[in-house]
Amino acid sequence: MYKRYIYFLFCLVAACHTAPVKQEQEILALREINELVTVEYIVNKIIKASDDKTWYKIGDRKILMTCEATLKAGIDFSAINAEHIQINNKQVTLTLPHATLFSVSIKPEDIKVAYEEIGAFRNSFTTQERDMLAAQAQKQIQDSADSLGVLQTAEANASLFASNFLRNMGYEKVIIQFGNTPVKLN
Amino acid sequence: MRKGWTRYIFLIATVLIVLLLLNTKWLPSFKNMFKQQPVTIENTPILIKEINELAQLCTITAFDEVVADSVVIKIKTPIETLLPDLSAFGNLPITGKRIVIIGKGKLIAGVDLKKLNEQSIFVHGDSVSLLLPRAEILDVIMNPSDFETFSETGEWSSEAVTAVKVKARKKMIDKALQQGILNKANTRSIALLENFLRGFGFKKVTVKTVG
Repeated sequence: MYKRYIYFLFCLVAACHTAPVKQEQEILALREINELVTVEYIVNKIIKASDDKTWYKIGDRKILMTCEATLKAGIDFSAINAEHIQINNKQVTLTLPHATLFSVSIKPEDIKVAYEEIGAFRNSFTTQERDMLAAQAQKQIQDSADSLGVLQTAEANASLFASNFLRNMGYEKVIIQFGNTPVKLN
Repeated sequence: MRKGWTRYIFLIATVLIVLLLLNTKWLPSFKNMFKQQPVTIENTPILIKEINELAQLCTITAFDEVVADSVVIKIKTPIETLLPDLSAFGNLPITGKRIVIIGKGKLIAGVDLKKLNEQSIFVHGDSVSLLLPRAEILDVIMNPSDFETFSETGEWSSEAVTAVKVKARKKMIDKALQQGILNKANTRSIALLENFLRGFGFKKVTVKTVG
């Protein structure tokens, strides 16, 4: 009886599984974009990881990598239309959309393994495992874009670029403002 | 008879408790018990190395997926001929290692507006003319999360793997250039800037690219 009882429990526990998540088909193609990139931040980060959480594996693995990432931010150029421009003789007021982070890029050659410590019974980190660690670093860098002040610098640079461009067009006084609300036309 | 009933009640009660614990995640599932725990990185500080001022008008992006591989073949040493070969070369007198990587990424093309100068724009009454620099590839984004190691046999150093990834990136650039990404970026940049300048009330807008 107890044998049957244990066998039944084993089958029940082993049968527990989560339903597979449906993945949407990705389409790779050429796309039109309208981004005016105004700033590039180049940042460095140390990737530090220890593989000692799996209870049945004997020995630990440690890795130390360095990576360099590039963050690019700017404004959506297509969001600027006639409603965002107010002209009064030689004075122009331009309302630009707020800056957004466009990309975080880590080039393969900018990831370097600085130190690796592998236990006697363990294999060294595979390419896939190293990529997964670097991907975590990428996510951390992306999440810290706000605290790095990337968006503020992007807006300051966009303002500077637009001012110079409009001065070259002959406007003597240029006012640049940011916001979603367009300038009201007179 | 009573003893039999007690056993059944005990069995049902145990099943219900196990199900409840599994459902509330108090008990790890049998599958997860032997699952390798993910390796997570520590939250180390981020150091700003450079801040560059740009003015890149990105107009076209090409998403693509490429395959790059590398093979190293060598003649077996006398000791290696005695040992079983796990590198898929079997009993052949050669052995080696192979890596196949699938890289997914995006390539961004557009014009570098920093190259504009005072002579690039000419205004006369209600007419404006702008001379744009030619479109170029402004960025190629292939992040670590965009690479998949399809096959890896033998020991590959991180430098050797990087070389394969760089090869994948070069393949992606070549493919995009063959698709005429630069011409498309030129056309799109002209259209965008014409529209932008019309917003200033100019009746005649001429935007051309250098050359």
